[in-house]
Amino acid sequence: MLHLIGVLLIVGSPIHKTFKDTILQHQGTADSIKRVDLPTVEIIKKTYQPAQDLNRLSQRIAFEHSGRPIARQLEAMPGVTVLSSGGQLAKPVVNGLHSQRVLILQDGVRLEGQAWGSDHAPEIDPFQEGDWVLLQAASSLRHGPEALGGVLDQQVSPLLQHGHWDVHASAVGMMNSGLMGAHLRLQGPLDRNARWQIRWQGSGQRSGNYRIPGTYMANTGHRENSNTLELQYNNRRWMVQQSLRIYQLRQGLYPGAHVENTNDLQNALNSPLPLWPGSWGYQLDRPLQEVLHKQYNLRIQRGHHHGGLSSLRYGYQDNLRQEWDSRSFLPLPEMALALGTHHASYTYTKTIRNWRWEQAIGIMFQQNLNEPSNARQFIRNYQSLNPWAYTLITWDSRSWGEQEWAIRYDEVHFNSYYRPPGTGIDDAVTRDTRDFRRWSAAWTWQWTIPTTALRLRLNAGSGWRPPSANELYANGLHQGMAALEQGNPRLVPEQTQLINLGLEWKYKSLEFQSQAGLRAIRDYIFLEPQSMPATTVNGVYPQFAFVGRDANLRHWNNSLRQNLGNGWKISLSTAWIRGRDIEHQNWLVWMPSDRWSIGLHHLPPSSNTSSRRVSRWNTLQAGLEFQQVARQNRVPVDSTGQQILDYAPTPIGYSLLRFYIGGRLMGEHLHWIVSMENALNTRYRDYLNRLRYFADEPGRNLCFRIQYHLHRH
Amino acid sequence: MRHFLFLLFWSMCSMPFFTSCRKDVDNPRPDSQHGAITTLKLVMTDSSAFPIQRDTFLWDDPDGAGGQQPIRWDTIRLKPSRMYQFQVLLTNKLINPPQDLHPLIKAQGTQHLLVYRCDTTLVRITITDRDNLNLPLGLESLWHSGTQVGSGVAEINLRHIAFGKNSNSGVSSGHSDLQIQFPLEIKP
Repeated sequence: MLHLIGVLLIVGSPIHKTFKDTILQHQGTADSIKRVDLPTVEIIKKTYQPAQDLNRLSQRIAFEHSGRPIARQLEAMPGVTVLSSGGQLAKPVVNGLHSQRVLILQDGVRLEGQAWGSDHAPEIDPFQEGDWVLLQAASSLRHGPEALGGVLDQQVSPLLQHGHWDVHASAVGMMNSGLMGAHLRLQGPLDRNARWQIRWQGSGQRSGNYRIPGTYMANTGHRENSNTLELQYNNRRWMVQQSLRIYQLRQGLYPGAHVENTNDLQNALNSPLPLWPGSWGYQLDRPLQEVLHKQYNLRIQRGHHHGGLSSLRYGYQDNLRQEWDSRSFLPLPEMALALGTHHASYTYTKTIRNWRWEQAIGIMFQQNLNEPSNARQFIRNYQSLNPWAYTLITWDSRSWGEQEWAIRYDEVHFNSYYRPPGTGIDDAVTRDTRDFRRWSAAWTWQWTIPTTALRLRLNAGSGWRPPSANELYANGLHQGMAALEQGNPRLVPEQTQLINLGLEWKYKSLEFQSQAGLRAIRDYIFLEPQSMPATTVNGVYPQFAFVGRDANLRHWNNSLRQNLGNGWKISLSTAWIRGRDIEHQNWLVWMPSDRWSIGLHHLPPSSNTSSRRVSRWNTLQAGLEFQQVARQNRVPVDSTGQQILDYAPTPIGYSLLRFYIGGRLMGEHLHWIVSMENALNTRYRDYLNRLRYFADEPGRNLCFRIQYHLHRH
Repeated sequence: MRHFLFLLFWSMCSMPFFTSCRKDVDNPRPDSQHGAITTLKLVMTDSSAFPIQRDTFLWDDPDGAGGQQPIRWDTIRLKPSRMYQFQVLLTNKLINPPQDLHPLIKAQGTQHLLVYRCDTTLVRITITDRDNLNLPLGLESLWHSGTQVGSGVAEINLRHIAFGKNSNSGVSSGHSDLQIQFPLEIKP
């Protein structure tokens, strides 16, 4: 079905005219052409045409930001902000939640890396093609009980049964950090009837020290490489898909952020410019982190005679992370972790009239190993086994709208293994076993009010998350954070109840979308300061311990778009998040501050609506965006009203201006964009950036991007 | 179908190249921090005394940062108007057997500097050893005690200066590998 719709879309698409012509010329010779039958058109017509999806970042917009870390690209969605540790180290924050509370998928597969640290970015190639979607519906329970926090899914374009080869190349350059990156994709059939399809994508990127207003940041460059190979076999009934992905990152870390005690931290806070002088250059030194992520996926799908579809999946991910600190006396990493994850699942889907049933059963096995380099074991060795099952029912009713119900059951068997400092290899292992079993459920209802342009969306559910290894057992110095963190073995799973209400309204050329949500979390796990500081060889450190407290989070995101005619469009978006610790009647720490943005864009008229000849002038696009971020005043305070859980007062609000201009050349094959980020070279610090204690955010950045696309029959 | 079976077979064959189980997960190495300093020993020699007077002062936190507080934290007791030679010895007891860090720091002397801070009316401290660039290192020093009796604090700071150690490097250069304040007493 997917293939049929895909072929139809391509045939109908004006930009694939040459392909359509070829099909007409060879009508009746290829299998795929025979299956272009008219009833399928009806299905496409029936699909509701929503306003531009608030929770979708299209590949086109992603291209305008390509080369930037994935989290920075996703910032274009209202409610998504970035938790950063400088450079490429940025992770997405969805309505105030991040790390283990937000799942990241690539082509439907959960990314399994060391997600617990604020300096651990998702291991995703920033050039990887595909639309990003923020899933916040009952169906997101497919991916895990913690998925109610939000699922960021990169939907890789399917390998369609094309008879031609596609070549796609892009390059990016950034003046601020001297970033240079390139990406190449080759895709095409391996046999005459296009049943075998192959796609290879490779990209490489390197950058040097980035510049903040007034100076360079020392040792903040990076190197990044990624390769993806996909192979697919598809006949009328079977589809087998394999993919292999290898991602590498070597990221320098600003040495001044690796403060070793509170005196050093105070010196850094008192200095208006970074204490560590930086200069232009690509050299990387310690401290740095190296990541190698390998991912293999196999999917076998079979369509049954009676209309059902079976899908069998297997995947393996291997995540190797080494963290090198500058204070070491030896050429060895301070932390070296290897995380291996196997997952296997079977899904059966069947559609009967307007009902769709999906049942799945699966298992996930994960192992974390401290590599034998005498490194510290901030995260213990562990093994985790997670069998699960879910049922998802979708009902598309003319009068009751679209309904989705999901129910899921998970069991987590967790074992950790540890030998404390000073023990020998023959001493007994400290083993800790934990078992968690819980149900999750969710319901989504989408309803278009009859005879109106109003569409409502309700999403309610209950999910949970077991405590992670660092929350249970962390014991020691969190490198670069100037803090001692203590795990809490008494933690219990977080239980989340949520309700989201969305509204979509289209009136003539106006589109308005709004989403409000309330999330109540029982035993929300976070770091709480301890009254007694710890004395160490490096001086006195503040101590933090993981605790579970009842909390609630509320968010309200809005987006408004108005077409002004002649390709001009104005857009406005706002995001508002509040997080409260209910037990202590205090604000939660590290919550994004209020923000709004306004943009004026000019898009070229799409060639199917315009009969004008495509010239380089009427493909021009341009835009201007202004973003305002308020100061975060809602921070945890003690009984005297003093800010706690932080080393410095929250930074003041800031405004940023960005503009871009682009167009198409060479018969629309070449797409170019020049943009200027932080055009006014504003000096600012962001509350969610760990480097805010030490330095400003990057200054003005002039970026060049080109993209070339060619397909050959 | 023939293609399909071939692909399935190929997939199964290729899987072991990408996947593996880690067998040592349940048999971890003991937690340790290479290069961590858990123990500082100050070896004092007064060659002007007869017989030659030797003493050691210890700061010891064998379980490293976090966990228990230091189990030993000596007071440096000196006599007035004397000149003492001091040597700093650093050990990592998180590793079994304990690791002597003195040779490592000496070998990486161009990236390290020991900075001593105390009330100069009590003691004046002069670094006597040099790194490979002939810059002060601080593992060995001379302590001139003052004429007055009194008490205070002697702070020992090991600065790790990964980039650009020079003759102006001091307590705010680089970052701290060690910072300990010993109680100090000058009395006859």
